[in-house]
Amino acid sequence: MTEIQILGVNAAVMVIAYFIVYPRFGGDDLKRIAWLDLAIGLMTLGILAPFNWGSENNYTLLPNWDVSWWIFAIVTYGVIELPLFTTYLSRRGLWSSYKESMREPFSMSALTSTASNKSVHKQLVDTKWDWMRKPKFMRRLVIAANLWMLGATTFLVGVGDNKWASLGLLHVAAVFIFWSMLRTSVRLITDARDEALDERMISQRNKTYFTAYQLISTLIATLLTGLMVFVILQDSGADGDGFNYQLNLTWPQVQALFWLIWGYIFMAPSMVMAWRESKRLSNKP
Amino acid sequence: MGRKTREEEGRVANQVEAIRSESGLTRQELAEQVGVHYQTIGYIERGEYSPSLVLALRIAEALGAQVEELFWLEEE
Repeated sequence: MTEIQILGVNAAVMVIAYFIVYPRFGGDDLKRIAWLDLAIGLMTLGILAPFNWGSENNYTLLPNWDVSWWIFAIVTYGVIELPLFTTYLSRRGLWSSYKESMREPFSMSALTSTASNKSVHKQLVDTKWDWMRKPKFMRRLVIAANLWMLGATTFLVGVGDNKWASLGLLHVAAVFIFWSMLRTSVRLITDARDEALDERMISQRNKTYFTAYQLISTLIATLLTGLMVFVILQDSGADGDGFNYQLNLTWPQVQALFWLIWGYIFMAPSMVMAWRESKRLSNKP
Repeated sequence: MGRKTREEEGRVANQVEAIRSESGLTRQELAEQVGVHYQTIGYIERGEYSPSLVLALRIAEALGAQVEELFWLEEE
């Protein structure tokens, strides 16, 4: 790819993001926009990767300064985004909220809660999405999300070839759709800060995180055990030297494993809460 | 010595719903007075959630009752 083509992809993504995605799905919620921005940024890299992966090409960022494709893509993405972002903030009168949100951007609470207090208050009284809060639907949603996560990961790891990279993007989109639906089904309680909840909800959220932690630990322990089994098998093979191992991964395989772990980190608390709520509501006389 | 399981623990019974109805308050009104979501009042009334001591005292105050009139331990 040439510099112009990368700039073209970045510009096209920016236009879709700032004229369609952020106004519709982000609105005035800066935290949500930040997460959408991260997702879209990663998706852009995902679009560019199959065309550039392993390429020897260097891209001229500044005169006499050549960089690899991904550095060029990230830097130019930021440069194109800056005027659009500032215009978005000005048009919606969000500068004061933005400055406020930057005061404690790296606090633990800011990093772990992905729902603003305003969104949580809205969701707590919401009736529009009540069909997602029916016990049968919540149970099916949790099962579908798990089947998708494990099925899509197995498929992408299994096929391996880079021609399937575009399906990796579909997988990422599906992860975000499941995450969004699970969050809505539990009224954002799992992603809310303490001040947006009352004591019952805080207790319910905290119990949920205990189980979600066990779920994620099991997943990571399984992956690490798989890695250990792999190296032991390599050792026992004819080529094994007992010290060096070679693990070849393609882009779709890396994507699959990356989103398996991140997907569960995002979704596990809402999955646990939705499952418990479905059982509680089913047992209700 | 560990914490008893939920089944082993005595259930906290209550008559919040009865006293609230006598007071003519809705769940929403009581929830606003004590600073919780109205669903939480429903959870408490159905015995699905045992409130903290602070919340129990606030509910008692809002309903003009003694806390032990509202909540008691129901041993098996």
